[in-house]
Amino acid sequence: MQEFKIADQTYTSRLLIGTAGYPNFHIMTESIAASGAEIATVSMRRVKFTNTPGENLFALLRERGMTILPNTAGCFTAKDAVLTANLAREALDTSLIKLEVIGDEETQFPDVEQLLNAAETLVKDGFTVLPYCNDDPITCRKLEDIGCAAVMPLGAPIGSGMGIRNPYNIQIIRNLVQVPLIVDAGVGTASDAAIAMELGCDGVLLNTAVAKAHRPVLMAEAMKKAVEAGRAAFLAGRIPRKLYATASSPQADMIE
Amino acid sequence: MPCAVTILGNMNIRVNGEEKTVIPNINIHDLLTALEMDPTQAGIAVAVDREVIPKTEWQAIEIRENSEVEIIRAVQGG
Repeated sequence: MQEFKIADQTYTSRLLIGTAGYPNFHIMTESIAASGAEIATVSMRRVKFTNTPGENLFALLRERGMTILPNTAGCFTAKDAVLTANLAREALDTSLIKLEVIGDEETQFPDVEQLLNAAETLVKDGFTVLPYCNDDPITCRKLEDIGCAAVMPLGAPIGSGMGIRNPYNIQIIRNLVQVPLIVDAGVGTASDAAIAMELGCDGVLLNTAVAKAHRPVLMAEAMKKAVEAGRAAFLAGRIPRKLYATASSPQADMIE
Repeated sequence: MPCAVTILGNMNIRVNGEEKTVIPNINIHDLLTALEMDPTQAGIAVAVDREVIPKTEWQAIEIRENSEVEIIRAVQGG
């Protein structure tokens, strides 16, 4: 799969970026630009009735030509996730949904049973479902079978920055599913993103690693390069690992 | 946060979890206007009693007593 394509839309960048937790709105927009990402995630929340109008995130992302990917973050049941997805489709005029159904506050791990139920309902309703899921090959295969447009296993818990904790599972998932494979959550620094891509992932979705970096804009740039480098390395094909040395310089015709 | 506007009327509903007293059978379009929101703005959606109401029906759909109205928008998220 040379092109990165989601629901018939081809993207140049394989980095998907979150919009939460930046020091301010300006740094967020600068970081998104530096990352080169074409897809940005948002959450759906209640309008606040205050006299101070907030920034219009939707308008800003749309003006910049970004693909807006709403999430169902904070939902603990399929029912809530389906309602949130429907509200997002109506508000943002998109059928894309980053489906999250969380099973536990502390770990933010997905509730697989609820996730599969919600995915099934939303696919039937015509949504393009991108599910955040465990790094479990069987769950990923089930999500693909349901008709999800991608699978997005976690590298590590959301916001943990622990990197790709189970690269072997990611590799197995890569071999098992045909839909785009995007590592979502767990990336802490550029090398983590590169590893995900070297394993054959089609993309990386991250937020905290950039938003909470000491210099978010610089980290966004680093992530962009890491995703590109990791992808190139995957396509190039790494050499096999060996325990002992193989000299790279000629061994013959040495001076005596 | 308390609502910045007072809506005159005698029908109780909840909007985004807050108690509101509104004109009986107010439609969604008028409710948004009364809340000092622009009903034509992009990026918002409304659900009444957990059912999403398309924008095209905001003039037609009237809100009943004790309804739970949710008005949502996109915010920063991961």
